[in-house]
Amino acid sequence: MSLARFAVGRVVSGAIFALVVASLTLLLARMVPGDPSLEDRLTRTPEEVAALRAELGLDQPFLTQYGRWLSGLARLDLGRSSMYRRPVTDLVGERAANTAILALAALLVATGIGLPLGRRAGSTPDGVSRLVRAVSLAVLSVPPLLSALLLVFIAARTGWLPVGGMTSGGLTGAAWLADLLRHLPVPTLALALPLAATLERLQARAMADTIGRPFVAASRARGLDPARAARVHAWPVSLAPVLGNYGVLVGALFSGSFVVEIVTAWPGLGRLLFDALSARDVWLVAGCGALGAVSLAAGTTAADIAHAAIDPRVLEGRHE
Amino acid sequence: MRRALILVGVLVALAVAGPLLAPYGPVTRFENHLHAPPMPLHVDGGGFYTVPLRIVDRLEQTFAEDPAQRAGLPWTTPAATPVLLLGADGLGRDVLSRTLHGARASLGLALVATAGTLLVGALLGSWAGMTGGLVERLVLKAGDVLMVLPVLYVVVALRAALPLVLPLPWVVGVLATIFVLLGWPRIARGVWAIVRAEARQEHVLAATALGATRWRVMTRHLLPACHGYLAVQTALLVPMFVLAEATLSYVGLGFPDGVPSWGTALSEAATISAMTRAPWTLAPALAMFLVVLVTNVLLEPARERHTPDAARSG
Repeated sequence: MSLARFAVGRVVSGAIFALVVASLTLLLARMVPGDPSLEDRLTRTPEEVAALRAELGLDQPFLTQYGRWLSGLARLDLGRSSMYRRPVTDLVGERAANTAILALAALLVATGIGLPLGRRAGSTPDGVSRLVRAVSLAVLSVPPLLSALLLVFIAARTGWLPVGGMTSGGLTGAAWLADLLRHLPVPTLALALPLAATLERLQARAMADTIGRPFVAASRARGLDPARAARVHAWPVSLAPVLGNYGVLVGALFSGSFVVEIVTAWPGLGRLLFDALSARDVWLVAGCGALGAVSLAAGTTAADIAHAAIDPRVLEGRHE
Repeated sequence: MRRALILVGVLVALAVAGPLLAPYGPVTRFENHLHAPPMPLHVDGGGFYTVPLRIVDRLEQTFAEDPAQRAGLPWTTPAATPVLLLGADGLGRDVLSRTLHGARASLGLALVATAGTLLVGALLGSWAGMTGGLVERLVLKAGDVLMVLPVLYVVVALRAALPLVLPLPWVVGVLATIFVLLGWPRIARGVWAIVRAEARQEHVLAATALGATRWRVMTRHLLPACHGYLAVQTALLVPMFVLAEATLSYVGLGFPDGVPSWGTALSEAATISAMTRAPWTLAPALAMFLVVLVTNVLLEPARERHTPDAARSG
């Protein structure tokens, strides 16, 4: 199978996945008992309630709603949020960008910490690698909920960094960016630390496996310094299985960012979905689901294609 | 595998015995000890003792030790002079007692969900492995899709879609069902791989040739091959579900406020003001950390052996 065919296949199945998940979210949102018109029900006349339901399109049968929503999806029009009184598309776009900032920063930090440490820990079994492994296991035991609480606690106690939010508001340009950078470390680290530990363990295992293989022994037999043999010959090969796991990590990143957004009041997609669910804001829930599904599918698909591009054995199906 | 079983045994024991070990009730309030700090344990010739705290300023919630007095351990001291080894929360409830009482809800739910996950995962996995064909493809594909989904989003969305206020047994049932729904694919995939390999063995062919039913082949000849894998997975699932409960309760979708669990305790403790004033109320977070840490440390070697992840086939 060629890389192009593999990529097309993955993109198609990713798109189907996104569509199915988005549709299920809408179904779920409609199954939720209650809808936005229940709010202020005591002060509204039945006519006003009916008008509101009609305005939100909630008086239609489900299939009509679904059809309208799908055709809207094609035009990037996901309806209006009853809670924010704004188009859903604008809202989820803004919030998804915030989540993307957080998730990308965390992914970069986690990769930057995890891979080099894993390479080190996997190459020579000595005191340093045992220490890295021990720290890694401890950090792995602090999932995002606890790491977020811990970091917020430290930030609150020391006053070094803001404990929540994304910006202080009312700033523009360079001052806004500087402010964002001050708000970024707490949520980013909360999300990145468990991920870094996961990557470190994966990389260390992959590295240890690769170093034991004949081609590394051969390079050493030719007189290459063992450290150099590990770095130049073994490491690139050991990277392939690690990259193969990035697709799964995207899901973990999403889950983690949900908790971190709630704890540190980061205005991202997870928080928006949570608020929308609490407010029974049907179209907003569906919009969050749709965008979340698309980003998730895009992330896993990109990771799979990158994996295949680096490791051609994936194309032959030998990895599956 | 033995480590995994012992670990699960200890967690079960903790869920059962936790509340019995607690010195005070989960809602026993000590009006004069709101946000009282932990009382350190001293030791001398007569054994362990603590120095009771006296409130100095009710508004500032400051306390002073009363050196004239001595109290024993909380289990032996009359409740009139509370001995708060881990301090008290904002309502004057003993944090140690609440953490021990919370173990039952948190670990209990996690254990119920784990049992369900193992059952569903093992059945579907072995069914797929034995039958092959369409069933196999459907089970594995469904599992793959579920495994990619971000667990927390799905849990929160599903839980939010159901009525918020439910009787307690229903809450446990609903949460456990959601956890099972998301947890089974991991188990099913592992069991499927083992069963598929095992089904080609001669003892299985012999049993089939002797006329054993499919159910008998599955339960007597195939599933026993999985028990090492299942033991390790059991020990890994429990902490995962403990954390899931904590997260759900933290956002208000788990146990209701009145039920002492690690998650509800955490949601009360995790406000900035409570946290900075009384960090000891975060004790349930420490309990969770310990459960996960012990699991990770004990099972790291087993996990490396049993996880058929891509990192090992490279």
